[in-house]
Amino acid sequence: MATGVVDTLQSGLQILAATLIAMGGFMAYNTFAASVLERQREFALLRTVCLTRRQVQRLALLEAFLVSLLGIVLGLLLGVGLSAAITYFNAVSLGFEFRTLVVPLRSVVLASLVGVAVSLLAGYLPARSASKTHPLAASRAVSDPSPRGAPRLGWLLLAAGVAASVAPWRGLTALFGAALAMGLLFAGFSLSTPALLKPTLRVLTPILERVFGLAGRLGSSFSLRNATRNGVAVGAVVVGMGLTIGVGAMVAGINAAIRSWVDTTIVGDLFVTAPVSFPGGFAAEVAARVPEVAEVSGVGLRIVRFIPEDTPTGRSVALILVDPERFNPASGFGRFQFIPEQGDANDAYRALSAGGQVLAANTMRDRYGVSTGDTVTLRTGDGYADFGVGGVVVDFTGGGETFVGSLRDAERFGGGTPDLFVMTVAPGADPTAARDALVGAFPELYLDVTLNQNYRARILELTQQTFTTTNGLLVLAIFIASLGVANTLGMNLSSRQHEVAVLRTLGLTQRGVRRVVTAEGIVVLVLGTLLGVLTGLLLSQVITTGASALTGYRITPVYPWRLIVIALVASPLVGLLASLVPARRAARLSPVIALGGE
Amino acid sequence: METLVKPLSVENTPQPEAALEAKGLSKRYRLGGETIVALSGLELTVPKGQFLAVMGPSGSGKSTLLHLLGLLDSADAGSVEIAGQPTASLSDDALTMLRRDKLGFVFQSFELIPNLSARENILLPAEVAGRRANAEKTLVKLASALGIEERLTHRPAQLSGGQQQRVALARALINDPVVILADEPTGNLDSHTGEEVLALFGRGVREEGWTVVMVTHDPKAALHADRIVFLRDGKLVGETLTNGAEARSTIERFVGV
Ligand SMILES: Nc1ncnc2c1ncn2[C@@H]1O[C@H](COP(=O)(O)OP(=O)(O)O)[C@@H](O)[C@H]1O
Ligand SMILES: [Mg+2]
Repeated sequence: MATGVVDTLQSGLQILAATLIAMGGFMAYNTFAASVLERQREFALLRTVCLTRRQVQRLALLEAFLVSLLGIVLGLLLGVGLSAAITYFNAVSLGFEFRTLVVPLRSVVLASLVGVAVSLLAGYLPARSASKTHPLAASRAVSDPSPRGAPRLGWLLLAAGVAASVAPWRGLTALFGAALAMGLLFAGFSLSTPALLKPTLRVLTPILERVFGLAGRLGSSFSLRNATRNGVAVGAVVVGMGLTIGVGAMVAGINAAIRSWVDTTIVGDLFVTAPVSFPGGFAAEVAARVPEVAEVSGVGLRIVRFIPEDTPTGRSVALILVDPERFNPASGFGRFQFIPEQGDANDAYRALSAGGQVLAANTMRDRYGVSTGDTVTLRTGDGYADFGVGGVVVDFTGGGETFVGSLRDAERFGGGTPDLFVMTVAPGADPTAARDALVGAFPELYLDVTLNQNYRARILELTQQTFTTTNGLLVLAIFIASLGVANTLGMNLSSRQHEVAVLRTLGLTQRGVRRVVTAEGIVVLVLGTLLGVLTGLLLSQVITTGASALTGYRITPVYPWRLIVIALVASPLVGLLASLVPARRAARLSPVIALGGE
Repeated sequence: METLVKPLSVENTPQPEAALEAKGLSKRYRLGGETIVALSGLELTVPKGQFLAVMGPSGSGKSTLLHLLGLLDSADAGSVEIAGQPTASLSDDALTMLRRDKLGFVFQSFELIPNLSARENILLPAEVAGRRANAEKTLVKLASALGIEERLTHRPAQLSGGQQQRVALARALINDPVVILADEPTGNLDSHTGEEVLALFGRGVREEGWTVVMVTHDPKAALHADRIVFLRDGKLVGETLTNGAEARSTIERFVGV
């Protein structure tokens, strides 16, 4: 059963791989936009040597295209490589054989193309501003020419991004929607950040000044100077943070769904398997020989061929054969989790008791439209046969492609005895004692008995471990974003070397210079994290819908409030870390530069 | 050549205290495999209250000298003393403090921080030193002396070049430095505005007792100073006082104007 859970998580990791790829695209844009600003002077120079405006623009766009292309290719390789590594890592650390990784290539490529297309659209702005560079700018010191009309376009893109993230996407289009929303929000925030910086600084500057003194105030006002470039850095943090919150909500959603499924359906005290086939009449033998056991219910596990309406070749799906009496609402201890309006416990019991009918896992409904009252075609020992559907239930077994049938039909699916027995112990009996008694009673079967709590724990532990990997990926996303910030701070520095040197001549110490850069890094990260949390909350719905479509499970986002609080509180610290290297570089700048030295 | 240098030592009059003293100052740069001697054994004393101009052809070592006097770079040999205080073997922080408290810098392209108002720019060195409150009074005096009272709330971009350089001068003076080091302060100004700024320097030296070391290649600018020294190949090759009749001819001889 646990394999099913892990398969689900596998799909979740694929989504993450896809989002990471999209992020690669954003980073490409980041670099590109920054490099256009960086070389404003160079572009101006090109204009003075008589390149026309159009030629400069084409030059900038060509570069954007190449950088983005490189971004896609590298991002794809990184994504696939990462997923493969994670698959391998999980296989090793969980001791679990995974199905080979299937990257949903079409959706991934689509997602990254959308992301990059949106980014390119935004990249057009710096390109246009580059082309508008006045030839005279070559001789002037250029600080930060923010493209005209950028804020308005920013607000527009933002509005579109919000619309894209709350739009009612259905099925796999949600994946496309997630990428679109992310791209739009990233571009929107990147362009509107300059406008958002001012009010942010009104709050942050006094705090930074209190902590860092004058250097804090200088750094905070410097962040406004390079508002356009910092906007892109803020955008990168927004994407990293947004992904983390959005995917975190999705992952927590899957977690909650699995937990609730485990809580509802993993009932029974002992789960018994054996390395050999169970003998016929095992259940009766247990009742006779082990008084501690009150109820015994067999489960058969089969793989059968299922012919969906639009797939004539069919699919292999899991078929779980259960003892109908276990699910007798009056006397049985078993429970199903029903999809609303898709049957109830009485219907299910009736269907299983009658035989010739199955219950469908909700994935079968989402993927193949199987509903209560339909008939489905399964291959039996004597060829294909139709089975009625008595209800739709939540089931994470077999990657969700599962039917639940009756042990009464076991003969039609190869016969044999059950593969697993679920037992309850008599009232007042100790499950551990019951286990020992059971193993002692059947020494010839070498029974493997798992207690309920251990069984649950094992499933949840598997889930948990896989989530740990997911969290690792998310940390990676934030790390990439922080690298982006560090990169931006470094670029801010190169265009400000001179000024830093002037501050040094005026008596600012190396430590003071470090603080100036750090303050700027903190501004970028705090604003980015704030906006990122908003973005994450916006995106979580569409990401979860995409995940539901990919995995076939119904997942509702569970907002990771703790993560959000931690992120907000930790953001200044991350800003400090991101600015470590550029701050050191700044502090080492020779003050000689101030006087025109090299 | 050496014979052209007129000794300036005025015997019998009490020696004024030195604001700045360079002894045996040498600086080499390594460029590729080559070693370039930028300064070699330079001796220079700047008495308090003097307006000194440094002239010399391009590559003669003027900038290097200013870097060393400004404690922005370290010499390979020799020493710099500021108001009698030796600076060799001081830590970067100690040098920074000295720059902050004892030196004022005026740059060719003003170098005001663009997103700060004129007033904030002027107060910056005082604030770095944690003396903002005391500096407010000085600011009022300086602003009126330099004629920029009306401009204090403006950003550098809203000021003319001449006004920017006045603000820069006020910034250099806010901590009441021992010496003002100026690097081609009129290089980016038209000649009329340049004259005005130089006149401010001259008046400050005469009336307020400032000490100024100014690098320039403009003989007209140099004539605003009290004394001119000439650099060539990293050495002082001559000097003149500007109040003498021979000042112009000396400049002509060394600069070839
Ligand atoms: N950072 C440096 N690296 C190598 N050589 C330098 C460097 N700075 C100055 N020089 C050399 O030292 C000499 C003196 O330069 P400089 O002090 O800038 O002269 P000036 O300011 O009078 O033009 C020149 O030959 C110059 O090429
Ligand atoms: Mg020079």
